[in-house]
This record gives sequence, C-alpha cells and structure tokens, in this order.
Amino acid sequence: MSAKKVILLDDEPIVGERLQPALEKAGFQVESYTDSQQVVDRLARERFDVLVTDLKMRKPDGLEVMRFAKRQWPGIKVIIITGFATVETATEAMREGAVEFIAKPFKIRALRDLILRITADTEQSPPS
Amino acid sequence: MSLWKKLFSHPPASETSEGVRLQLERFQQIVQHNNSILARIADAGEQLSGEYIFDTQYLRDLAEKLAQDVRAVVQALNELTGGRYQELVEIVSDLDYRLRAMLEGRTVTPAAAVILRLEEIGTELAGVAGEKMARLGELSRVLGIPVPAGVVVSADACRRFLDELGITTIVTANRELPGEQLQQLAGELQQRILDARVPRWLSRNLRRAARKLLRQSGAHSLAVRSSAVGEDGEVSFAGQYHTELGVSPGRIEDAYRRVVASLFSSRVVEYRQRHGLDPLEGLMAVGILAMVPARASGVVYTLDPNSPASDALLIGAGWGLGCSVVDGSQSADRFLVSRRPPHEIVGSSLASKEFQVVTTPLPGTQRQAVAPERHQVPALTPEQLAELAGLALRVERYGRCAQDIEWALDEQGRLLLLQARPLRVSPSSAASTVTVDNERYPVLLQGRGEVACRGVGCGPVWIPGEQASLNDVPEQAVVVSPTATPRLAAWLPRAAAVVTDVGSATGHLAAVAREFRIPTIVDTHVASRVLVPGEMVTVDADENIVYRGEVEELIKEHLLQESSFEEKREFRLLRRMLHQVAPLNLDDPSSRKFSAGNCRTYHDVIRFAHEMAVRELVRGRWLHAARAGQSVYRLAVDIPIDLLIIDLGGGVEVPPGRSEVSLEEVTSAPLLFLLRGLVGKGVWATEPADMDLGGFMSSATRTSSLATPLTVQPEQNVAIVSTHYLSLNLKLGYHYNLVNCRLADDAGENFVYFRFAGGVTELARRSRRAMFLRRVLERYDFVVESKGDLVIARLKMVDGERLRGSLEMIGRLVGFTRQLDIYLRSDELVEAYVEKFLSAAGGTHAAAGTDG
Repeated sequence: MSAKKVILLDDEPIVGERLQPALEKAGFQVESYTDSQQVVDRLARERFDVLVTDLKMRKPDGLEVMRFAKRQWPGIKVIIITGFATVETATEAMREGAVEFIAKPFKIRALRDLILRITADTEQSPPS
Repeated sequence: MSLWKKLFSHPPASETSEGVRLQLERFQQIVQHNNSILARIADAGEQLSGEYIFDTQYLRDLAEKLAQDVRAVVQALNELTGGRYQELVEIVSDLDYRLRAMLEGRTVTPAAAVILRLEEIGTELAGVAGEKMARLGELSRVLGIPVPAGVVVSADACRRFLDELGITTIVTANRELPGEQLQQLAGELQQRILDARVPRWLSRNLRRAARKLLRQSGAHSLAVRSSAVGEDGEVSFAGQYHTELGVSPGRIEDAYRRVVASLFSSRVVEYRQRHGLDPLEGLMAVGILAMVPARASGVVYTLDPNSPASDALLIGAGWGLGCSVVDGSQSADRFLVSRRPPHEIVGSSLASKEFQVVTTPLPGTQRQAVAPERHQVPALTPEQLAELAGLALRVERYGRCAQDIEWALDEQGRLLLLQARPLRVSPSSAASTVTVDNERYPVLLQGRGEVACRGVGCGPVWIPGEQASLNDVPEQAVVVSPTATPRLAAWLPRAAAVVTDVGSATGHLAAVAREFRIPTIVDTHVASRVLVPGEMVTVDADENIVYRGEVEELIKEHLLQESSFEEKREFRLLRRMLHQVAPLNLDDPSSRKFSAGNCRTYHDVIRFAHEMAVRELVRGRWLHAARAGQSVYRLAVDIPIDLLIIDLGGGVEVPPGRSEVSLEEVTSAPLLFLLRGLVGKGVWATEPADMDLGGFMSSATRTSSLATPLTVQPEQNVAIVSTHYLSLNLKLGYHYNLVNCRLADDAGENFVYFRFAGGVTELARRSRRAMFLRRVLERYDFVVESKGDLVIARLKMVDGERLRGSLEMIGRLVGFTRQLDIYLRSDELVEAYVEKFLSAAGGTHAAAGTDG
C-alpha cells in the first residue's frame, strides 16, 4: 500500500518545517507550503488524502483553499490549524466540511494521531 | 490597643463601606491577574519542550496579553495605594518595548557593566556577552575545559558607544530603507565607527582590562574577537565578523572599533535581512582573550561533513596560530579519528606545512618559514589527537549537536578551546528513517509519562540516593529518579538525559531541563524500578522511548538533524522573551532590594505588586473603617492564634451580623486546609519547652529587633482570603510565617509560597530549624531556598489534591516548629525530627483522604 499523502499550508515556515519531518516519520508522504496559491496549484493537479491548513493568510486564504480542495477532491480530509483569534472562522470551516480544527499552539503528537485516525477511516479494510 | 479592638470598637463612617468594597475589588483584580499571568508564563515555558507547534503569531499574542495583564495589575495597585507606584508604569512600558523590539527582530540587551570576566559568564548571559563568548565561558565553567584567559566588553557598552556616535538614531530613522540604499548607509555607518574616537569611559576600561589580562596571563598580546548578540545559534554568521590577533594594549581601541564596525558589513546586513532580523540593529559584545602562543592549532568537526554517516571526527591541524587553518590560506594536516574511544586514527592526509603564523614578543603576529624537517611532520601526535577527540565529543554532548571547534596547543602541550559552535551538516535524506532494531536494543519504556524536553541522550543509568550530592553525579549519566525533587535541577547540566517516576511537564525540573536542553521524560511511574543502575540506555525523548544499549543510529541521526527545534528562530525568540518575563529576582520581601525600582521582569512586577497590595490591605487606614460582619472576621478556634480574616468573597460562610467565624465556617480552601493542619491533634504542643541554659541565655538576651522582620508586621495575625486564595501573615511567638496560595482543582494556576523566619534561640539552632524545614519541604517537592534562619519555599502547578495535602502539612509544620529551635541542640537531631514529622504526616494524609 502506498503512503498517504498530506499537504501542509501555513504562511509561517516553522509550522511546516517542524510538522513535515514528524509526519514523514509516521509514514506519510508530505508536501509543505507557505504560499497558498502554490497549494491550489498542487491540488489542481494532484490528489492528496489530507490537507492541513492555517486560516489567516494572504489570498487565497485557508477557507478558500479548503473550498477549492473539497470541490476538486470531495474525499479529501481537511484539518484547520489556527490561532486562538480565529476560532470563530474555524467553526465556520467545520460547518463547511473540515474534519477538525486544532488551536495553535498544539502538540505535534495530537495532530499526527489525528491524521493517523482519519486516514485509517478511509482504508478499504479498516483495522479492527 | 490591638487592631482588633480598633476595628470593632469604633463603628466606621458611612462613606467607607463603598470604599472597602472598592479596595477589596482592586485587591481581587491583582490576585486574579497575578494568577493568569503566572499560568501564561508557565504555558510559554512548556512550549520550549519541543512537543508543541507554535508560531510568531503566538509570540505576538503572548507579548500583548502579558503586557495587558501586567498593566492591569499595576493600575489596580496604584488605585489601591493612591498612586504610590507610578514608577512601575514606566518599568512595564520598558519591558513591553523590549519584547516588541525582539519580535520585530531588533536587538535589545540588558544593562550591564562595561567589562565582564569570562569565568563569570555562561549561556544565560548570551544577551550581554554575545553567543560566542557566553558559550566559551560556559564550557570552561561547567565542563572545566581549558580556555584562554579573557574578558568580554558587554553588548551594553557597544550600545552606549553607538548611541554616543548617533548611530542608534540614524538606524531608527532609516529602518524602512530599500536594499541598495541600506547597503550604502551601512557602509557609511561602518566608516563612522572606524573614524570615531572611542569615548573615555570605554577606552579607560579597555586599556585597563587589556593590561591586566597580559599581566595575569603572561601572554605577549591579545586576541580581539567578535561575539554578536541576538543571532544565537545562527551558524551562518561564522566568519562574517571581524577578529584581530596579536593586539597590544595600545592598539586595543582600534581593534575594538574594527570588530564593532563589522556589524555593518554588507554581508552581515544582507544576512540579517534574509533572516527576518532588522538589518542594522545588531549589537556586538567583544571578547578580549590572552593570545595563546600556539605550537599548533586548527579545527575539529565532530562529524565529517563529507560523510556524516561515518564514525569519525575530522581534525584539521597546522603549525603555529590557527588563522591559516581556519581561513584555508595554508594547507593543513587532515585526520579522521574514530568517535569511539580510544579514538584511533582511521585516515589522514599530511600537508607540506612550509609556513606558519606565530605571535611575536613585540605584540603582533608574523608569518614565518617552517624548518624543512618539520614540513611533513604531523602537527599532532596520535595521543594528542585522541585527547582532542575526547574533548570535542564532550563539547558535542553538552551542546547536543555536532560541533565546529577551534583549538590551540600551547607551548606546554596543553590543548585549549578557542571557540565552539554548532556544526550544520546536511543530512543524507530529509526524513528520519532510523528504525531501531528492537532485538539488539530492547525497549525498556515506551509511551510512559510526559516529554518535558525533546531530544536524544545516552549514558549509564544513575539513580540518586537520598543523600546524593552534586559530586556524586557521573558526567553524562542518564539520571533516573523516583521523585521530581528540585534537588535534581542542580545536577541537570551534567546529565545526558533525565527520566523520573513523578513530576509534570510544567514543573520546576522540566523548566530547568528545557533551559539546559536535556532530553527529559517525567511522570513515567515506573522508571526507577525498570531501569537498572549502571546499565547503558538511550533515551529517545522525541518518541518517548527508552532503549537498552547505546543506539548509535539514533544518536547520530539526532546530531544530524538539519536543525534541532531549539535552533529555530521562534524558539530562540521565545527563550529570549522569557528571560525578560519569567525570572523572579525579588524573592524575599524583607530584603532591601525588594523595591519597585528593582523590578527587572514581569514576574518581579507582579510579585512586588501583590506584596504591596497585601501590605496595603493589612495596614491600610481603610481597614479601620471596616464594619464587623461585613468583610472582616475573627477566627474562633481552640488554639491561641488570634487570627483576623479579611474576606474578598467566598472565603467564609457566616450568618449576617456575626463577626466571629468557626473553623467549619471557613470556605476558603487554602485557609481551611492550612488550619486543619495547624489545629490537628498533637500539633499544637502546649507543654513549655525544656530549654537548656544556652538556649535560655540566648533567648533572654535577645531583643525583638534581632528577629528577621516579616514584611508585613501587623499588630494582629491576618489572613486575606477568597474561595481559592489565601494571603496569611502569622506571627507565633518569635516566628514569622507568610503564606501565599491559590488552591483550586485545576493544577494550572495553583501555587503556594511559604516564608518562615525568626526564632528564640541563637542563630545556630535557628539555622538547624531552617535545615529541618528545608528537608521536610523538599520531601514535598517544594523549591526551597534558605539563608540563616530564613526559609523560602515554593511549589506550583500541582493538582488540588496534592496542594491540599501540602497546605495541611504547612499548617502542621507551622505548629510543629513553633518551639523546635529550642530542641535542636545538635545537627544530628535535625534528621530525627524530620523523620518524626514525616512519619506523623502519613497518618494525617490518610485522615485527610477519608474526610474528602
């Protein structure tokens, strides 16, 4: 079985820099971006299993990227990682189909386990 | 007339009832903000464990919320005291300015002396001494590695120098300049420094320090080295600043100017810009070191950058001073030496070393020809190579990443460390792919407890006994402890890793572990039973696993990680911010230094504000107006403590109009548990102490002025309370007790501060009692400081159940120690009383449990 693909988007480089190795260690194939347009371009061409995105960014913002991802790949799971200030927007994202939102700062382990869980759900034969 | 009588015999004027309510409200605000600030600081400290993802936005929010809350505290205090502490407003503004400056990438440095001695500095002073010199001082101090004698001209001196040249003003005015103009301006600033006359306050200091250094070290000349502030850990700065060798005291000012001017070199300006630092706002500390007349010198890379996976260090060595080896202008011998003892040579290529740079008796350096018969002779012997490898690996273990080290071999054949910095080696693949062979390295612990600081450490297991002292700790051991006692904190710098049975990631030990970047796992419940003393283990605090054996792959991988999390800009920034926020310098309210003007951090400000607010409430004239049964009560218990209770809300439950309150009517959790301990069976000894003549004479000749004064000296014992809060000033005979506490179920904001001083006997006995208190309190995991008969103990971030137990213990302790100094006739008796107290404590705990 090939590795699940995760695409990360946060305009602050440290988020991707730290998450990418941690998720790769857990067996995921990971791409990380700080520019949301690049993520839209990648999603236009390729399917990912999980999108992890911040909300507040230069246009297109996280919500718009999420909408695009959902249109393009209805099965994609979206996780919002956001600062405390944008919790309200995050709730809106949940209504539009994000699986979960996690407020920054968060434990790396928590996000990794969440991704492991939601990608396990999409397996053909889920582990018992 | 006692305060009590004053309070209740004179009915208050009608207008004061509103005044009382307002004052209590202000006090309450101070307490509440205090708690939330402390919780926020603790939370920020925990971010440094590496377990969390946080970003710059978090840091901005942190700075903003802290400033907001601390300002609210100061405002409430000023309202409470009629504006007595306006000074604090300015101090808070200054701290806020500094934090914001840091966030904007500008360099700020604390005020400091012009000249600092190298042996006094460590990495905690990186903001003053620059990263390079701070690290050199630290390695010499902690690991005992020989370094040249030296001093540091502080970054604060540089700031003053630049201020006087008008450069700070120019920089501030031109912050937004576009790239090309910026470079041009930087060039002009550089020239301005080079052309400037060094001000007298600075030149005097420079010359005096230089002459003294030469006199004391016997060296002929000096090395003047850059040690920039604010770029800690940024290895790419290496070699970009100016360094000057062979400097005489007469030329010290020129050298200083040239090193400072290199702050504005085009390369540095460009680099700062690229890394989100303000391009012109660097500050330079400058190291002045005795020149080592080196027979040979060179560099060590603790991993071979060309082949990092191999098991070898790379050593470059040449004759004479190291400058030619470092800058590559001369060919040098290259040795590959095994990382494993006995550090055999696994490869070498000898260069023909025809020239060398040497120091000259006339201060300076000179390039001279090497005698032909020495051209092909290795610059280091196999024994010296092995010694150098051992030294380099110690630095690597301490620094927790691969190192790039400059060294020199002096005329006596002694190896000296000149500089050490992290070596960045590109890993072969981005992702970590190490799979640990579990057959070879069995998993001893996995997923147990909490990671307090990430990282990988390896060494033999060492379990400290009750009586263990710092000297017993083997260097680079894995310290495994059944408790998280603060005693461990002192040992951490020597440890390779720490694993405890209890404790929390927000505790004192965890904070110290993060400060020293020691991989630490706490609260495993079983580590001290599972791990065997002396056995080699590898602690992987990234994955929360402990393996048996030395998992070389894992250790190597960790050293190779492109950049460890601690090196990230956000981590360095948070660390620096916390230095302005978290340390508590004003710990003892009775000390002369306990003043508004001495507040250096936010923590100082809120501690000071709280103490002054308590004093105001206890002493304040407003109190005289308080009406019985409204906010002020008298405790009715069987023991003679005559305690006045000021209720801020929810602290007592008494029918209207009554001014006496029984123990059952106390609803302030911290006061209730403390009183339960104090009035507990057998605690309040009533029989007169059997005082021997020595104790009696001391007591009889003692005047009350000898007793260490409590900060607040009410005529009456006073407790200020609310549901979760207690501030207690209690004088029992000659003993002064101060307790500040917040007690709720959630550990986050819980804390207790206990201060004890005074006594009736001579200082030796009172000191014994202090020792007794210290031993008991440490068993309960308090952080304890004691000096003479003064004991200050703190405990924070513990859950409600534990804190209730701790308060009951303090209550018992206060009762138990009332006359204890009289009984403590010898040091040996201290231990006996500790045991007596602790064995009785077991019973009390059980009783408290069944009550709940």
